[in-house]
Amino acid sequence: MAQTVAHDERMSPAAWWRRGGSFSAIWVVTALLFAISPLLAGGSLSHSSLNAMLPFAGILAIAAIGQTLVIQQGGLDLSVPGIFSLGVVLVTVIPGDDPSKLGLGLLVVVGAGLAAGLLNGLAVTWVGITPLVATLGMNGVLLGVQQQVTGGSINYTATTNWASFVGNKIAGIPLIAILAVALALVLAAVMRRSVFGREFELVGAGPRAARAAGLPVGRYQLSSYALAGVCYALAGALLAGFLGRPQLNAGNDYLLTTIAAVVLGGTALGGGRGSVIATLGGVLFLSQLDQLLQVLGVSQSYQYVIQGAIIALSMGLRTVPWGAMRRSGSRDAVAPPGSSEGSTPSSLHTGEPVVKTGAPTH
Amino acid sequence: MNEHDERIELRLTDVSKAFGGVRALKGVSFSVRAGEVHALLGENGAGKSTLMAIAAGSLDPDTGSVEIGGDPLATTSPGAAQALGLAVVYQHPAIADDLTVLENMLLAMPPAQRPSFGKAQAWAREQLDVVGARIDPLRRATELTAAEHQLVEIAKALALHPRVLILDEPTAALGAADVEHLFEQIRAIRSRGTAVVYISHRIPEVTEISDRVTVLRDGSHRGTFPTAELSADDILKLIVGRQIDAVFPDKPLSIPPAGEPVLEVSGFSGDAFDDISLTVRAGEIVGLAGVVGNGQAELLRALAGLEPHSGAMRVRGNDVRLGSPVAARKAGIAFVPADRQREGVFASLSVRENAAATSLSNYATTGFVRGSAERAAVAMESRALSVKAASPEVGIMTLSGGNQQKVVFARALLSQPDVLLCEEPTQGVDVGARVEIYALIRQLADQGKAVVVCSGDALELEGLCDRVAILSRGSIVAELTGDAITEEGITGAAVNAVGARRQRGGGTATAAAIAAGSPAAAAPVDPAAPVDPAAPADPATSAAAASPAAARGRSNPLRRFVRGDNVATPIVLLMIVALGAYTTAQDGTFLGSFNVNNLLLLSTALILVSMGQLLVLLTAGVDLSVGPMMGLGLVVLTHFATDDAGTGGFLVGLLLLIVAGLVVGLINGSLVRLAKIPPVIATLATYIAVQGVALIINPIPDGLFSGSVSTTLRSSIGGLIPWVFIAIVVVAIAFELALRRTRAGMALRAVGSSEPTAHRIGVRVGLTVFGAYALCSVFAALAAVMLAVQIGTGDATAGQSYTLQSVAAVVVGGASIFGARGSFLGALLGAVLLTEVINALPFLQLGNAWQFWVPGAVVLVAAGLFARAQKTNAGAAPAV
Repeated sequence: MAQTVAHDERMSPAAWWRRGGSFSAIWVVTALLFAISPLLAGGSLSHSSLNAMLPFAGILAIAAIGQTLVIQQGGLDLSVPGIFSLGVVLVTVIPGDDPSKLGLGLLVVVGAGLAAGLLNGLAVTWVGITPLVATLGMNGVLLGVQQQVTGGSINYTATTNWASFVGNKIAGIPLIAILAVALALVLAAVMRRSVFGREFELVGAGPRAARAAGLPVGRYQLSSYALAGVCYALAGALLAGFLGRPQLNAGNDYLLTTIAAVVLGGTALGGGRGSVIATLGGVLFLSQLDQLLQVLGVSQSYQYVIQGAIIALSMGLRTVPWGAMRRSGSRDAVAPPGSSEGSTPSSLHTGEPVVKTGAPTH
Repeated sequence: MNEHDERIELRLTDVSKAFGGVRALKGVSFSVRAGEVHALLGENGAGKSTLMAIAAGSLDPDTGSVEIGGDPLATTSPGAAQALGLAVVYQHPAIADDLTVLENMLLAMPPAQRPSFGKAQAWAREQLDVVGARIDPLRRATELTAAEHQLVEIAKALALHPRVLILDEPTAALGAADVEHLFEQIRAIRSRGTAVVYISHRIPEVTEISDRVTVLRDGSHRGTFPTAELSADDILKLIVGRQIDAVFPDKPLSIPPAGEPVLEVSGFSGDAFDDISLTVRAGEIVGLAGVVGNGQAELLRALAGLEPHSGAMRVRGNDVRLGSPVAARKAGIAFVPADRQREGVFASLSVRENAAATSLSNYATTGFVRGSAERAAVAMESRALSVKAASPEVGIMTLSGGNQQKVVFARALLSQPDVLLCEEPTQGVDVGARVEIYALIRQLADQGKAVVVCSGDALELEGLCDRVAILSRGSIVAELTGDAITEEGITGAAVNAVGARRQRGGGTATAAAIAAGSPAAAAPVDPAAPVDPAAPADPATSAAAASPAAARGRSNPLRRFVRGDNVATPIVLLMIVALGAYTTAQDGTFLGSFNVNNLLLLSTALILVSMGQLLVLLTAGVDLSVGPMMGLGLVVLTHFATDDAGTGGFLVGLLLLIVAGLVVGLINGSLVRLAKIPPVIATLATYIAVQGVALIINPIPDGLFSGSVSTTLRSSIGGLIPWVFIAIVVVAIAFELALRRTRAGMALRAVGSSEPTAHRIGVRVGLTVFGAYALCSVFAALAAVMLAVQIGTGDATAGQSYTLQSVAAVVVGGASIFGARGSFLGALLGAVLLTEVINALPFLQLGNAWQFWVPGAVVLVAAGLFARAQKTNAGAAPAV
């Protein structure tokens, strides 16, 4: 009997990586970035620099946490700008000039985020539209709603009580950053420990296996979009509070960066293991990089190029079949161990239409 | 004996191959002479398919060499093997589902042997006639039955007139008459000197058709013998290498078991089975048998809630909601699927996580899982099943197939089910684990569970089951119990039912059944297994059987169009006309020549970029970077193609533009193909980077596009239709024709349909994908020229909205986001429609918001309708 009880002991490096070690990589890289920042640019790690960076990092983190949930379910959410902007608009327009209506405004923000997310989820799970197209279309619809509500520009500023709440600091740390970390920790605990979280992870890791095992696949996929919608809308509301007079198209910057943060964190595209904590690492990395480049006086344009290269590089490092490349001349036809020749797709036995194996992310 | 005998056409020397740590082949040598049928035998996992994949050039051996027709196979590629004269009939046909039968056949032919497009249909009919398949070559492969797929696969291979023909389980899906026809063809090509490798599990077939036999066991060569010198028993012993009955656990002595009914099913009907009634008692193992594709697998899956169906189902007296796997699980049903890789295991998770998947709430208090309880339960169950794993925390994929299957069983057991459903429980499982799984299943029955096993292996059912129900054409035609459960009885009942069907069709049933190698056809059918005589005579079923046969010859053109790739084209055209008419009714100037000219000119940029997008979408990818690519192009053009620079400047700008497009396209292709990054992320990265490059050149809009060039490009016929628009329509038609008629077009769609299949057919997948991305970016670059005509200044961000719009236009034009299906004409019209919508808004007095709503809503509705249509199509696909 080779059944050993002590785990984590004999883990090979590959097994460690697969078991979640890959989520640690981003922290090493982020730590390195912070370490070299003061060497490259003196002020890039100063108190004021960090204070300028952290609130925005917190807002990005809250949105990116939502994106993590969706990507973990094998989806992809391109409606971030639409829902985010909805949060920006509603938190300012609903209370108008009346701070006492802030509560109502926040309620509407959460409700709208939830509703938009649910619509995304229903389009994907119930109608069967691919996530890319469903959320892209939904984004267009939501931007239209925002145009309709505002008539093209926001005529209100965030209420004073919201602005001062969002601008708060606890022990010198911006409240937004604390909120983001708290949200990530709570979600991480739920994912690791709760029945909901564990089943959520199972469905993400293998929707077909989950279905065959009798887990409610659609419900978990739907919940990921719904939760993500709330995250984006809240992030938008926070940005509105922080900036006071937000731009209408403020959400546009958050689409690519949320995906970049998730990818950097190591959550697998097309579903599987995900980690909201690792996404925090990705957010911190991107934010500090942004800060560093700004202090160095690198223009926004170059930052885009660097960002693109980093996403490609970090994805490439994770996805390039290094092992296969080392074996000379081998091809994609390498079967994974355990997939002996006798195991055939059931579709070929049952005569049901063969399901394509392409990743469902686009 | 003839002169062919001495020549070796296929020679594999000392071939070894390992997958991970598993040695699939250990120094196997194997040779086939001209003019012989050489059977290759062995159990699942013995290495037959691996050996043949190496011979066919689709797998690289670790050591050893391959010679075909005396020439060494220099490069590992299916194309190279084919060029040397080797053809393969795969058990799972290398047929791209989204292509037509004709296209599949053309794609498989090397250029020299390919008929011209005009003669192709007649040629395909001829090739199909050779194998006796009456299939319309213009039907889409996905509409064919499993048997028809197999016949097309065989026709493809024979059309190559190969020196070496490898047949891998060619009869698995075939009926008796088809098998007899196939054997005639095999004998014919053997007499012409072709070397035939025949891989099969069916020993009677092997003794009938083969001249020599080679047996593999556990990746090693166990000997080669003239077939005539071996009896069926000898062959069986060589394959198995042990006594068979030692494998199975003892059955209970009391028959039938006295348990109470646990699973009761009545009036159960689905796509592939009708009016099934079945009761399984506690402690009983019931087998579902039948020739592949007769509804037994669907029935089992329906019991698990995985197939749509009607009827009534009760577990321990409680009604179970149908068609819901969740309801089935909650009712106490656990399912062990056949497709372990995709449906059985969660590949990225650990042994523990896999095992505990469906029983988490048992270890939870207030919704949170207690880790200690979970670990203890998993440890106990894996010990009971003797799962061999270094630790419960190792990844499930590090285990052998047999141990993976044990973990799937452990999961089922941990959820404490009343009913256990097993589909092919020992598929791809090594012998040792198989014995353990049989013992386990029996043990579960002894504990009072009701067990249903669906298996294609009649021997397995014989050894394991207390009762076996045999299905034919979706009905239970026989039920065997006790001593009557024999391999011969099961196969006989199944084959006899098939024979009856063939007979009605006018074939020679008895001869065919004997030819199919069923021992039972010759032996008297077990009296305990009366074949239901009413079934074949049932008028409803015979009518149902007759109609598909009539449809098989030729599908009507309308039906073909509705299922074709251009189905959206006329609808979109109609929408363009309707919207135009409506808007004109509101405001007559909409159809004025000024606005029409303007609209068509505006649409050109979107059409071009949409055509590029379609190329990538057809490969089942997507290119999000086209928008910024257009911005970059705009910036480049306004730098070089200024009024001062004249025509020369424009040409330099154009050249640079195309080069830039090629570079971006190749980067996209490399990221997707070489770095294996999902297309969405890869092109998102280039989206950001290309946008950055454009902004570096032009941080703020700068430069002015040449007015004279712009005027030239704006010129039109009678101020109505721009010349550029006409040129683009011509290009779209040319691409549409190329997509349907050239090998490149078919290859593109084959890659989008399924990359592994395309690779096996011999399509150069990498090259095709690279080409699609490169062309897409070049199209985006050309679109930038028309954007420059519209905007004039070098605004680096002006292209951004085209990313969404190009995807929208292509989807509206009927393309599938899953690849392989789409039309350039559809993309063109989709782009025109979207432009028209935006253009019409001011005429309709609609506000800014509509500019966002309409494209968004159009995309959602189009994609939604398409998704629905696909679901219905899949439901309507022939299931038998």
